[in-house]
Amino acid sequence: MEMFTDMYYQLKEMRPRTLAHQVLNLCMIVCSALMIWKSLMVLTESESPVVVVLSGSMEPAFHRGDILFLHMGYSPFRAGDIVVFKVADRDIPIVHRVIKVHEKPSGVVDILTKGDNNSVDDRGLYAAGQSWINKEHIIGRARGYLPYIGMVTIIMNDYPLLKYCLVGLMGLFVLTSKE
Amino acid sequence: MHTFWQRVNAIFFYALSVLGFLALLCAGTTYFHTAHPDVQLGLDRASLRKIMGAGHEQATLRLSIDADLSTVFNWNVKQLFVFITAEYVTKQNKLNQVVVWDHIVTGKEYARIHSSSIVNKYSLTDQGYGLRGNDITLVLHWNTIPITGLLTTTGFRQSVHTFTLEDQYS
Amino acid sequence: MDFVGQLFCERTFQFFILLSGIIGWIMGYMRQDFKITCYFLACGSALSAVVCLPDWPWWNRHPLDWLPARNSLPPPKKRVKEGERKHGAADGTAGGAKAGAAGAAKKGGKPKKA
Repeated sequence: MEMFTDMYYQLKEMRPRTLAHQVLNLCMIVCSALMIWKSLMVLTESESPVVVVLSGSMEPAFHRGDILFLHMGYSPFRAGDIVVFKVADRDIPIVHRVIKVHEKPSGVVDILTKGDNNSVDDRGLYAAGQSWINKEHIIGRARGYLPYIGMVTIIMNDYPLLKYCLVGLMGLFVLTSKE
Repeated sequence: MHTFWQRVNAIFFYALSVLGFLALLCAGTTYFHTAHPDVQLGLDRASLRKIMGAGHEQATLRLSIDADLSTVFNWNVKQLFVFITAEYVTKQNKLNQVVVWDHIVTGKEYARIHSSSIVNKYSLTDQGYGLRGNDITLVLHWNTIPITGLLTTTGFRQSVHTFTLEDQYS
Repeated sequence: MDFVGQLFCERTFQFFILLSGIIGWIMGYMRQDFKITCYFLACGSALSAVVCLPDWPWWNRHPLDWLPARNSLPPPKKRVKEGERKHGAADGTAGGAKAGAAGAAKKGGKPKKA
């Protein structure tokens, strides 16, 4: 607790210029994190280069809390590819495997996906009347894998209060540190 | 290093960094790993029928699989996702690829798959009526799920099985 | 833990965890099983946590030489003491760490301003 009283006294006794300097430090950190994220997006040509697996539909390959690195790539989609796609009116991207590919001479590809742990394919998840997904629905292919690291994101999603507390604490730490 | 909690923090994240570094090293050593799998695919029986009202055909296959994938395993492989695709060309589509059977191999001990007559798990349906009298190629693929690192899919095209479906419904 | 003890403690756990990691990695490579590496690393971390986390007597073998306490001056008011400590410590060290040791040393060293 004395950590907080230390911080409080430090903030109270800062001159306006020092306080401005600290706020600028905080902004710098936020901006550099944003820059790194956006440049990763450009590099991997994907809307979201790193995703955390949120559901257990790809077990035992991927469990909740695993991290996937996405890359779109230019090679054609083939059966067995693990793709991350978004359905029309839903926000959450889904990570499933391609099980059917029908490629037309025009270049349009009809794809059907299914989660390894699901017994039925994803037609029920697609929008009403949609039987296939196409290239425009796919945001990336899973290329790299890291286990367990995303558990922090899952915990913060399940307990949003924890997320706000942690971010607030980190902001306070940056404001009061002199490094 | 002044307080107990700072030491806890230091030890925990140091151990985590060492773990990450070792995992990376582990993934690096498997880069040169070569696999020598042995695969034989065959077809026991095939029957074709027309699904009225849906506008497409469906084939039921009885496959025979004899595969030894134990050399694909190394210490960075968590499991293999093995699947068989049926590939064919139709007038409408220049490529059709349908997964008809899949299996998860969790360890080297289970890497020998031997079945003489398995019904396909997933239906081989076409988007239209392109299956009648068509040539179909069965290919075995496996997707390596590593402990950490890159996910790779390999299709074993040295040993595929091609057959022709009958020109009538059964 | 005194300062020399802190230095030794940090070096000890770093060396020990790294060593158990390397041995675990070699064992895992020979058996082609990464779980072995994880177990070795976990055991090494647990052991070094037991040795390095609590304040064992062997970490306190080099205590600081404090100057004798001055009993002749009256004890200052608590709020002023906090303010003086903050001004004295804030220039040199980060605010978050316990500045107790440094502040106490400074107070013992220089004459008190009333």
